[in-house]
Amino acid sequence: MRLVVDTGVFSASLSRRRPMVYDRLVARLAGNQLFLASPTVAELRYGALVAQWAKPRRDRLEAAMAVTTVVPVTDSLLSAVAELRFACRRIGHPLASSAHSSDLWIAGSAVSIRATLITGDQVFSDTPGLSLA
Amino acid sequence: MPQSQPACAAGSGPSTRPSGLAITEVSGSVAEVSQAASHHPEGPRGDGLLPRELTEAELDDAPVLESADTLLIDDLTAEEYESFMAALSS
Repeated sequence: MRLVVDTGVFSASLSRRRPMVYDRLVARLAGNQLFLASPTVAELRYGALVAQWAKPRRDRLEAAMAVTTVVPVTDSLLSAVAELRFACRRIGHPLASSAHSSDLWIAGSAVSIRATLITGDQVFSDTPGLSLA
Repeated sequence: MPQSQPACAAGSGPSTRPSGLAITEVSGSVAEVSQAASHHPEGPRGDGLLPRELTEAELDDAPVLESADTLLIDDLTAEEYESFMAALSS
């Protein structure tokens, strides 16, 4: 199965010290094709910078991301994100809000490659056209 | 100026799959799948430098995670991890 892994689940997968709520989700990653949306890559790198991880740690983060495939920002992805936001706006879904811009891109990335999104974030619930794990 | 190489390629180049088709590796970074420059010899205009679409075959060929333990950063300290998670939620 193609899975787009959101930032919360992927960051939880990096350490056994993860919040317990993520254990079930991380356990579902094995045996699937993992994809990351571009905002997730930026967020993970940002987190490593803010946490002042030394280069070996940041290299290890890059190695973990290299196990996945980053969904390229293609013309069809740009359209998918625009159309998804429009659909969310019409039904009053929170992903239409600028406060959820990164989440919108993550959802749009999943929709664009017909993947399932694995997430523990309720903001993705009832997103039009989005399959959730 | 003719451009025959990806404008922002980094890392590995095209590889030959069993099908005999020369395609770009799909895992890793966005830059590795960009072939837009070769599609638009007129230069960087509009959306001309966006990466090309992944094919269904390339999506199907994406790597499968064998074990979630592959993603673990084993020697990450509690302090390092908590700082990281706090940054993501801020």
